[in-house]
Amino acid sequence: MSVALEGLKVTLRRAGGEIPLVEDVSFRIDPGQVLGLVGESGAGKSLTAAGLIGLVSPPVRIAGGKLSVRGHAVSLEDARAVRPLRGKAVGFVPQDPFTSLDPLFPVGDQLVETLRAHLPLDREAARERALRLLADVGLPSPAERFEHYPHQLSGGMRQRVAIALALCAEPPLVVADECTTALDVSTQAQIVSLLARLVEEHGVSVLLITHDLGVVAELATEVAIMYAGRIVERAPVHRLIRSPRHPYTRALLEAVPRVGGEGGGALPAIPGTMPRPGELPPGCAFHPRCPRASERCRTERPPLEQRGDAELACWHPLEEGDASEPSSGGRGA
Amino acid sequence: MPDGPFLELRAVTKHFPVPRPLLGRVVSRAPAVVVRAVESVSLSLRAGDTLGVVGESGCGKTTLGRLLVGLEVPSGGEIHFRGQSLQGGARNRPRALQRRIQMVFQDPYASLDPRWRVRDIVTEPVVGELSATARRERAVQLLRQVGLSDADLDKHPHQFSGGQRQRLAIARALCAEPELVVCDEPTSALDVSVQAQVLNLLKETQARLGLSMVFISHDLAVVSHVSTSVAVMYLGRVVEWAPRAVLFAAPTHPYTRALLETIPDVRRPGRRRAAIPGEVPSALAPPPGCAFHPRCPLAEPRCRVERPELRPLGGGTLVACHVVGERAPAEPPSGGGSSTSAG
Repeated sequence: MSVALEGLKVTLRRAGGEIPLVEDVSFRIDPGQVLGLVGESGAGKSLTAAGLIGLVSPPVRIAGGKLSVRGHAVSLEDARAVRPLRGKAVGFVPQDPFTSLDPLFPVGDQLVETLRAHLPLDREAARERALRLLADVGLPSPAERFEHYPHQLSGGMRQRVAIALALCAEPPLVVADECTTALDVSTQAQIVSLLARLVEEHGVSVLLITHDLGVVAELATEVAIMYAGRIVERAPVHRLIRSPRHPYTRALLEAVPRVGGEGGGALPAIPGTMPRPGELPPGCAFHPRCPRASERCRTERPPLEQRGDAELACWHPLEEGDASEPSSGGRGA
Repeated sequence: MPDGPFLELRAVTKHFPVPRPLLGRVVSRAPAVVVRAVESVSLSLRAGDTLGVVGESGCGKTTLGRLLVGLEVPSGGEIHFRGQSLQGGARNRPRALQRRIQMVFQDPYASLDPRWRVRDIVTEPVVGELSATARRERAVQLLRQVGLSDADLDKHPHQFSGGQRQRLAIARALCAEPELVVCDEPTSALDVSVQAQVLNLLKETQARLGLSMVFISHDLAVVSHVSTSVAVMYLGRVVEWAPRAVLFAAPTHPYTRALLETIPDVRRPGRRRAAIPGEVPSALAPPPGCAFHPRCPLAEPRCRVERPELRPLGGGTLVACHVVGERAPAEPPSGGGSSTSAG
C-alpha cells in the first residue's frame, strides 16, 4: 500500500503574522520506491520531513496536511494523532546519527528498548531481533558492537545503527534526511547500497531528502525538486535528469561540476540566491534568477500541474528533450 | 635561490602526540602514541598553477594545508616558497613572505568574527598599515572584486548567506596581495548553485591576479574542475600525484581508481557505485607496508610488509604502489571505464 502526503503546510509565527515555510507539498510513494526530495538549503526539504512526523516546535507549526499510511489518513496538525506514527509508521534516519543515538547507552540496549516500545517482545527475543537487525544493516561483528557506545563506532557504522533503529518496527515509510551527506564517498557508497538493498528486500517506501543530485540519481525512482518551500517539478528520475522541464531543475543539474570534465571553463552558476521565507517575490519564486522569466512570471504564481506521470509548476517550461543533452559520464575516452 | 619551483614540499611530516592520562604516563613505559597526520609528503607547484589535494576524512589533507600557511609546525621535512625555506609556524616566518600565503577556510560561519564589520574583516591583513580612509577604499575595491558592493561595508557576517560569506573570506585573503592561496574545502558547506558561483570567482580571480592555489577537497569533481595537478592522499601519504587530465583519464593507484568509481554521477541515473570495502584504518596505527593493502583488490604479499615509495610511471604520474605499472593495470571491474595505459 502506498504512502501519501497531501497538502503539507508548515508556517513560522512571527510578530507580523504567519510566514509559510513549506506550502502545498504532496506526494505518493509506492512500496519499494524511493522519492528523492531535492533542494538547496532553505528550500524546505528538511522541514517537510520534520512536518511529516510532527517534529516541529513553536514558533514553527504545521498548518495543514494529511498523511496516509497503511490505509489510515492522519491530519498532521493533530500532534496527538501523529505521535503514534513515529517509528511505527514512519522511520527516520537523520543526517547526524548522534542525534538519534543516546551517547550514554550501548547501541544494543537502544535497539532493544526501541524494539520493545513498538513490539510485544521480551528482552531475550528483542535482543535476538536486534542482533539480526544489526547483521542485516551490515554492521561488522554485531555481537561485539552490541555492547559498544555510539562514540566507539565510526561514522558509517553509526549510520548503519541509525538505519537499524529506523527499521525496528518495520515502518512502511522511511524518511532519510541527508543521511549520506556527512559521510566520505567510500562510506557513502556503502550506505547507499545498503539502503537500496533494504528497499528491495523490505519493500519500504523511502523519502530520500538530499541536496546531492548524484545520490538521487543512484537511488531514487522518482525526484521532486523543491524551491522556496514548494515542489516545482516532479518526474521519474531518468526523465528528470535527461530532460528537465523546469528552468531551475536544469540550472541545478548544470551547476554540478563533472569529474574529468573540461576543467578550464566557468561552471554555469545560477545567479543570486534563493529568497528567504517571508521575502518571496510575487509570481514565480524563481523568476528573479530565471533566464526565461516573462511578465506573467513576475505577477502570477504558476500552479503545480499534472503532466502525464509528472508534475510541473512553470509558465515557460523547457520543451521535452530541449535541455542541452548532458553528456554521459565524462571521464575516460 | 630564485630558481626551482614556486612552492616545494620536501618530505613534510606532521605527527600529533596523543595526550595520555597521567597514570598511564607514570606506570607504563610504552612509547608515546602519535597520530601520523602527514607522513613524508613531497609535492611541488608552479607559479599560477593549482595543486588539488583530495582524500577522505582523516587522510591529512587539512593538516597539510595548515602546515603550508604556518598554522601548524612540521615535525619534519621542509617547505620552500619562492626558493626560501619556511621554518616553523607563521610567527617564525619572515612576515613579508608569510603574508604572500593566505588561506580560505571551509566554514564561512566560523572563519569570520561575528562582531566585526565587513570593512574591518576584509582589511584585517593590512591593519596598522593603511590610514582609515585608505582602508575603506581598499575594502570597497576588494568587495567589488568578489561581487559584493560598498553597501555591504558596515554589515556584519550574519547578514550574509553562506556563499556571500565565502566571498568575504576570499576578499580578506586577497587583501594581503597573496601569491599563494590555500583553499581548504572552500565550497563544501555551500549549495551546488552557490558552489558554482564561488568556484567561478576563485578561478577568475586566480587568472586575473596570476595566483597559485592549493585546493583541498574531498570532492573529486570539484578538484577536477579547478586543478592543474592532483595529489591523492591516503592515511597521511600521497599515493598518486599526476597532471589533472592524466589522473582522471588514466588513474593508476588502486585507491584512486576505487575512489573514482565511488563518485555518484548525476548523469548516469540508476548506476550503482562500486563501494570500497572496509573503512579507512586509524592513523594511530596505520597498517604496515602499503596502508591501503587491507582494502586493495590487487594486494600482494609484499604490500603487507614493504611500503611503496612514490615513483614515476610516465605521463607525469607519480604513484606509490608495488603492483601497478609492472603489469598492465587491470581493467576496471565493470567495463565502460577508461582504458588505462601507463607511459
